[in-house]
Amino acid sequence: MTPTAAPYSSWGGSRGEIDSAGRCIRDYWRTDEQEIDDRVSAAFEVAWKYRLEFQVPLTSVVMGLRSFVKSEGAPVVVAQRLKRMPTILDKLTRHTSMQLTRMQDIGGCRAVFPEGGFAYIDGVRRRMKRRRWDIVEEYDYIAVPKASGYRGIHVVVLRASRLIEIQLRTEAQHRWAETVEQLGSRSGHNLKDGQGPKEVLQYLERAAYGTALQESGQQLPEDFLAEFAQLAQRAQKFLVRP
Amino acid sequence: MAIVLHFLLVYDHRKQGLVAAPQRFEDGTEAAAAYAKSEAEHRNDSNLEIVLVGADSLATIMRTHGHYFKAAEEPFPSLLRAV
Repeated sequence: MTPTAAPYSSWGGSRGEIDSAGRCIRDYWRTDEQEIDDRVSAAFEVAWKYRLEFQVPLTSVVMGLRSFVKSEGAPVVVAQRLKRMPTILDKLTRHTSMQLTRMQDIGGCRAVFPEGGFAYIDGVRRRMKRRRWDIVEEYDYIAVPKASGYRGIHVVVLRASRLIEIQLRTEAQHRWAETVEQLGSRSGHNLKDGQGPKEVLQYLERAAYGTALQESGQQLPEDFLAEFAQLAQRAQKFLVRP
Repeated sequence: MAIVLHFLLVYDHRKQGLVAAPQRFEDGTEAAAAYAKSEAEHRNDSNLEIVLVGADSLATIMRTHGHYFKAAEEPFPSLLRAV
């Protein structure tokens, strides 16, 4: 007897069906069309059902993460979120070759550690490996920050056939990221994904660099401070909502 | 008590604040269904950001996703102080 592959989703939807739904709503998203027809509506239903599948594995990862953070002796500041549908669609639009089922952060969680708490982060990562978590990817944005200046460690694990992203940040890194969110909201630009006026993006990147220097206890060089003051001033006019 | 409490947030970018108190759920599936329903309802309003977050308490969410709860403040004060 030929073994049958396990269905890709709890409702029996195949990987192909889910990716096709992703393409359908991405194409809808690219247009200015407000009305949705039955095909798009059905695709949204599939995408929502698919996102729901992350809720249980995500909570399972969060419980494990909480336990690791506690065992490291750090305050437990851990939360989870299911990715917003508009953000999923933006991502599918920006990365046209990306498939919905390949997205690594539909289910995401975050632990925030005290300022300078790099040892806690290392400890948690070690615990994930020791407990044989199924680690698919690791992104060390502390060693190599994103072009935006973003710093943190991202670990993608596979849990119950779903990819879950774990973000590990220190308080200073988190404060910077939260400020970027706030400024993005205030200005109407998607700053966290590196979209917006170059004056603002440069200012945020330098702010991240300065924050990292401060967190590691280093003196801020005079030339950095002069440049930062200038960038801060130049960025101001872009940081208001149109 | 649920292991994770789920909170549905509706944030208005124009007002820079939540439009209502976070809606709390103990059941993750119920929370996700309400999330999808709210996204569908507000699909055409790009000023509204709807997000479903979860943690042991709302206080934790206010730390991990604090920008939804805080009024705009001076960015990077410690760097500006150093300037």
